Amino acid sequence: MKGPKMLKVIENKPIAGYVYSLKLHAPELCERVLPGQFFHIKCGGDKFPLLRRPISLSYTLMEEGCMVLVYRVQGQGTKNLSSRRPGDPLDVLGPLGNGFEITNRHQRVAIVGGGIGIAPLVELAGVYGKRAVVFAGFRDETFLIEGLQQRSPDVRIATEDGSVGYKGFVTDILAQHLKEHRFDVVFACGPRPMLQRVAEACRKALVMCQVSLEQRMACGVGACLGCSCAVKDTDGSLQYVRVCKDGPVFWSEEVCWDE
Amino acid sequence: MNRVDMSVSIAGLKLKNPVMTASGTFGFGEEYGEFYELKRLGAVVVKGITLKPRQGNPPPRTCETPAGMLNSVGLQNPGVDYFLEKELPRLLDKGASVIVNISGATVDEYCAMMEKLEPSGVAAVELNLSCPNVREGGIAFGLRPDAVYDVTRRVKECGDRPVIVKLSPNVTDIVEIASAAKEGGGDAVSLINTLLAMDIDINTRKPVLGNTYGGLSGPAVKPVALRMVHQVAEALDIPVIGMGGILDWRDAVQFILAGARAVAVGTANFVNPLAPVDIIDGIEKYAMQQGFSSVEAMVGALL
Ligand SMILES: Cc1cc2nc3c(=O)[nH]c(=O)nc-3n(C[C@H](O)[C@H](O)[C@H](O)COP(=O)(O)O)c2cc1C
Ligand code: FES
Repeated sequence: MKGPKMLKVIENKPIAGYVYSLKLHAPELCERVLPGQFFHIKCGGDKFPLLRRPISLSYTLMEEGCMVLVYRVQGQGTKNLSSRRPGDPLDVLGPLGNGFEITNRHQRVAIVGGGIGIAPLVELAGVYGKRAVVFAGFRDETFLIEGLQQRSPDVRIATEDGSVGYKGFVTDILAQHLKEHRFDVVFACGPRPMLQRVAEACRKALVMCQVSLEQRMACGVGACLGCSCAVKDTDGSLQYVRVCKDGPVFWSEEVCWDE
Repeated sequence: MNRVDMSVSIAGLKLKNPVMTASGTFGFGEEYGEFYELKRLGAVVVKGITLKPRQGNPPPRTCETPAGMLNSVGLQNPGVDYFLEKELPRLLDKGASVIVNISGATVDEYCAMMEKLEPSGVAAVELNLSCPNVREGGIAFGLRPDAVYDVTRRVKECGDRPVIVKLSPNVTDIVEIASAAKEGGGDAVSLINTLLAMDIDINTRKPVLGNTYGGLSGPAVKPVALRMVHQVAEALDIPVIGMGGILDWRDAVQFILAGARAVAVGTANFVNPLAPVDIIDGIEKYAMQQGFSSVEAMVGALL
């Protein structure tokens, strides 16, 4: 039966300010994990920090039997995680949640990420390759660009300070692009205000959009109802669903953005 | 070495071992049932249900605090009828002993649920008189001895199933409340529920939880829980189910030594999905090493 696994840390290094790339040896999980799924990680400490931290798959390296998770140091959990060294064991539960809905019918897709929300999209970019246009937004410092480009050549960059690519929000270049080009689906991950703008742009352009949501989690497996977000039921009424088990990927039109 | 008799009798039930799950931390068993066989547990205590479905509180509903966590789930559940029709048969199929945690806004609601549960295959009913997160969560009853007495007595009249009364730690005198549950005819008491708490984000200057207040659980509450279990077990002749911050078998053994006949594992499930079964194994090893022939012999064996 499934349970937490002890995985070996191969590499754990900073790739930008506060952003770390964690490579784990996990040949069996590599075969199974889907783009958009996450792992629930015991970041260290016996009782403090107590709970696991959800971190999404960024990409797999099949030949090496490794997977890479990219995370931002935000609190005590991720701070502890950043001090893990190569060779250390790491207690990992997963893969958990539903990944992005991927089908062969999608001939042209847009993949939109903001900040650390770019990390979960790298493996997805590999699935769609030349069929995707990737939009990556950062405040200032960029990361994971090479990884994206290797998988999907058309990568458009926006930075808020204008240091690389378009100066401004990634949602601006996406909205402009949606006016001129036809996409079968848009995939997005990033801060909630950004996702809301992506959803709005897709609604106007009549394109379906899948968003990957973040929420504080406790169990990560669907048992505690601690990670709920509000969605619209088929009859229009509001209902709480579990980000960890029913998501983390949702259709943008289901999400109650104002909740 | 001889094997240890792990079974315990509590509230008229014979459990194969003293380890249960704490209500609200284990859903209806479906998720953790993918990690191990649910029939290995002494009992599965399912998440709190109410007469009518409830949506629960607005997010965020959880946050971590030093050696613990806050939750303000607010009894989100599909209601007793859905539970009986869809969830219970699946659990019983797995061979689990099922204890149902119920909450009501009025005594009549508790009774109505008891009547619906009576003809089903549930092993016992746990009255949640202590959910800090919603007005209808029974907290209105759990803080006053006369109200605890009244709701326990009325529910006992509605059926023959064993009734466990779950107590709130947010009271001045826990023994007085437990005593009221016993007088009302309660077959056992379980304690503790979460401690009413809050957290604040100094950057947004807002409460962290969508509901402002929530319940504190996890290792941080263990010393308080242990003290309350000890007080009740010392003072009263009623079986006690101990919980609050049990993370591993050592914690569980402490509760048993303090006088608990059974223990429940809550927040620890989130940290280690195998915690309850690891704890069962750990208690057995400890009992063996210490020369106890049964878990029952360990109950209250504090020197
Ligand atoms: C997320 C969560 C939900 C809970 N829901 C319920 C509930 O529905 N009914 C109830 O009686 N107790 C509920 N509790 C309280 C637990 O059953 C238990 O009494 C408490 O968490 C202390 O144990 P622990 O420290 O092992 O978690 C809940 C606790 C948590 C953390
Ligand atoms: S984190 Fe427990 S249900 Fe999602």
